[in-house]
Amino acid sequence: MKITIEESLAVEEPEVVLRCRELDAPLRRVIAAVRLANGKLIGKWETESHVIDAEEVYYFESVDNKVFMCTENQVYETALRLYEIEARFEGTDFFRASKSVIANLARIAGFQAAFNGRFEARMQNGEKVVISRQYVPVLKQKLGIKERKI
Amino acid sequence: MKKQLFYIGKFLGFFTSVFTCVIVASSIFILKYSNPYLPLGLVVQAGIIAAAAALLNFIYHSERPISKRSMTIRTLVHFVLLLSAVTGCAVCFRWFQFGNNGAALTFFGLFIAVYAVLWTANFMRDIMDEKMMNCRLREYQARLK
Repeated sequence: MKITIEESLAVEEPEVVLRCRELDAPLRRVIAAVRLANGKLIGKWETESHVIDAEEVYYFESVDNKVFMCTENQVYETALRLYEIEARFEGTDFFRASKSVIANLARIAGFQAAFNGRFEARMQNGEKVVISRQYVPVLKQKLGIKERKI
Repeated sequence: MKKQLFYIGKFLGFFTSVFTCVIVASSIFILKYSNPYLPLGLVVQAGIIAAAAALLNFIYHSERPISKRSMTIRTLVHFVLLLSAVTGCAVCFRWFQFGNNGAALTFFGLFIAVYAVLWTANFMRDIMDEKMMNCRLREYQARLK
């Protein structure tokens, strides 16, 4: 893959252009990485608004119609809905862990089997996130594991 | 539609595995306590039991994440309801009568054996998945560095 970088003072906003014959898996990963590296989120904590790098988010959780994003040791409220977050970070390290949680694969310390096809993700900050049976195949696919039929 | 297909898929998947186990277990039972041949009706009876078991499996279904405590309770409830349903069916199908202690004991023994085999198989599959997922997670995170 040829990489060309053009630096110029005339450029107002950085732009990434991909020229390819076909958008294959490695290129999709590049797009996801760019999208994630460029992903800034506004989070509210008490009355203050903060700009947070998406990479710093461990997981998003929806509770009582409000969506919270949890970083290493802080919880912020975001105006985004879970489906919007899912669409925005499609193809990145984020994956749907359950109906109410979107977790960051890069921030998971390990998985632990629970009962009946469910798993628990132990985050790097010690918190635990339940992965519903329904979403386990999506996670396996993201990790490159082929799903067994039965 | 996608949701309905998901439920139907789950139902059929579980139906097939229970149906196979019921056929094997009831064949052993019938060969020991009944005529030395397998009646065709057994297939229908096994189908009814497998359908009841597949429906009861939805006890584990939840739209929200289930805690370990809730999962333990669900497993116990599932075991009791399934045992009741299967015993009810077995009595209706005249597989045994409660007066025959040997037959009743064999029946409950087979039920517990099938339940234990399925539960252990699921548990082992989860443990294998856990190992595989942790291995792939380490590889995934190594690629990110």
